[in-house]
Amino acid sequence: MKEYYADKTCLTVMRIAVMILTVLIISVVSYFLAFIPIIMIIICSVFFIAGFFTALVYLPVYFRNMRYYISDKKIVKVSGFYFIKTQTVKISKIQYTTTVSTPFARLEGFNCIMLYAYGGMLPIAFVSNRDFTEIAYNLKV
Amino acid sequence: MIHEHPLKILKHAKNSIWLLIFPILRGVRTFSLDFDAFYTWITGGWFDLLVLIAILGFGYFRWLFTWIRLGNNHIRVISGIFVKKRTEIPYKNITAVTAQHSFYLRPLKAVRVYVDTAAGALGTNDMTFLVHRDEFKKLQKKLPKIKTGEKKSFKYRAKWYNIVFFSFVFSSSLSGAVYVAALIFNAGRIFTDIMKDDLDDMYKIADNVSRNMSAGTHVDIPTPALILGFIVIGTWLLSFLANLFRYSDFIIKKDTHIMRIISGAFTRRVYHIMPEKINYLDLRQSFITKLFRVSSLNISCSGYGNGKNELPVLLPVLTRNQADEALEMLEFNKYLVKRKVKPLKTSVMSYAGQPLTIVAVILVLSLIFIRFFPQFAHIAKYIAVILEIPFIWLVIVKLYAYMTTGITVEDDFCCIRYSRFYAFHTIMADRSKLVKIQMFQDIIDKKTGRCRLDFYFCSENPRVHKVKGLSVKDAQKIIEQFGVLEKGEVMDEF
Repeated sequence: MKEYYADKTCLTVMRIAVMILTVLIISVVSYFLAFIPIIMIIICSVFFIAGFFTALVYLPVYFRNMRYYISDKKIVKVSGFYFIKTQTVKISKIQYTTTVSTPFARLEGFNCIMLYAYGGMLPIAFVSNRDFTEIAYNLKV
Repeated sequence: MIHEHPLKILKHAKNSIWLLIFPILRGVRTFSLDFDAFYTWITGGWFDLLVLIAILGFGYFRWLFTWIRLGNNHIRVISGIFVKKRTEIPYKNITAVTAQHSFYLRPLKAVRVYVDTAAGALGTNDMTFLVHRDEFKKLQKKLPKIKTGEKKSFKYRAKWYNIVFFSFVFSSSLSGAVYVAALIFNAGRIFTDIMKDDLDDMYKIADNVSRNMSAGTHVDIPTPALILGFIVIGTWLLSFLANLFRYSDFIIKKDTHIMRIISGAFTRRVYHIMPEKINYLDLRQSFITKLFRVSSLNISCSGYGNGKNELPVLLPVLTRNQADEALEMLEFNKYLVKRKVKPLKTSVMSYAGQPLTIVAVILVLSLIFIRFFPQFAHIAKYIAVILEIPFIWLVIVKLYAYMTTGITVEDDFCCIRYSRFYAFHTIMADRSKLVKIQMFQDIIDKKTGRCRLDFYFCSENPRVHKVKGLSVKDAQKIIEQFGVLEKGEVMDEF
């Protein structure tokens, strides 16, 4: 059974993206709500806390917990932030697959493999490009 | 590698149609009856043209970057200009392939193709594309072929009067539509009469109404009631016509490897179903059709009959002999066996109890209403009678269901007979297709040693089949036969 982890480059890109988005929202809010400072401060604080919590706490912990175990017979996905969820799918029960890859996947690792089995779908996301190619190749259902 | 039909460019271009806002804005800005303004607008036409080219260009490039590959073992669709999406379905996992020949696509030789597997999101197709007819033939070659003349192949063409009867019966509940229309027409008429006349003339009105109803003479019906009644009938009529066109010229061809269903007048649909992927067969009957021994055969198979306004019908209207013949051809004849496990004799109330309670509640409520509002006694009686009839009918249906419900589990298959509302179902399935079985007991069941068994079979749209009034002992035996419980294990100890 081989173990795969979420790509750290992807984590960095996502953290930067969340921070930029937070700064942008705060700028827009402070520009348009400058005439009611109290509401502006409250909304900006909420976005600041949410953005920085996501970038500095949630995403690192989520990425640290995320891992995949793949064998000839089954795939196990472990993920979650506070509550850890373990999902297992038998490879023989997978009916079809969909892979999604972005243009700079080689650099930032934004890849996803959706495994469609009886009664549900299991996404394998945020794996490095090398792992993505390897998993997609091995999962010839 | 093949491309989709060029018509798809227009479909893709549709997503960029919002870009037209710029030429519209330009037009609004320069709008004036002045000739100079018109000249300015005309000279700026290059901009509008550029936007149109951009819209079509987006459509073209999306089309250009969409590929279909028919491999030796799988079908693959690759799409997306920047974000690449690649969907791969192995032929062995396909449950149904549908080719939709819409009347407006036929002159352009375009076919809309839907590919389905047992997985995927509810009510959606796993793969959809628009291709040229010749390209679809290439895909057809990859599917198992129908070999006519072989011993196990057969062909059935539904008679036109069967299709009309089927559309008539299954169009958004004929009886319900007629019933609601009648209720609206008559309630409206009585209500108008009450409002028009004095309270002292109540009895005269009742006499008039009954005389008019029997003589068929003209009576004033208020416009809202008339409109509502016609809406109900109109909706049913539309549903009837839609079903008639959808199932007209219904042909089914079956071989050991594949089953092909062809139907439709304007839009011709060809379903290619893999027989081994059929989850179960459902022989459906109503109380009347059961008395006349007529039924319709439905199937549960992902990709067939799961869409909106679609019925998973395999053979629309069958007499008893035709049904036996069809089941024999489908190799399901051994599945239709007499019931071995029947409901307990004491469980009649599990079947008729609920509708009987509703009958009693309606009666009591109408009596209370008449007591407090005697001036509306006539309309209250009329509505009470109208509401009572379907539930009294349901009591009769449920009593008959009690006499026909049962379960049989043989070597590798099962036959479950039960009723759901007014319909009677006979489910025939392989034992291996069962995914869940549930034993349900309420307080009364617990005291009397009865239970209800809920069966869940493999299906894209999960549907429960409930058999009521079984003894716990029989239920446990059935669960054991399905291999869920080991011998000696007891369900209610969990």
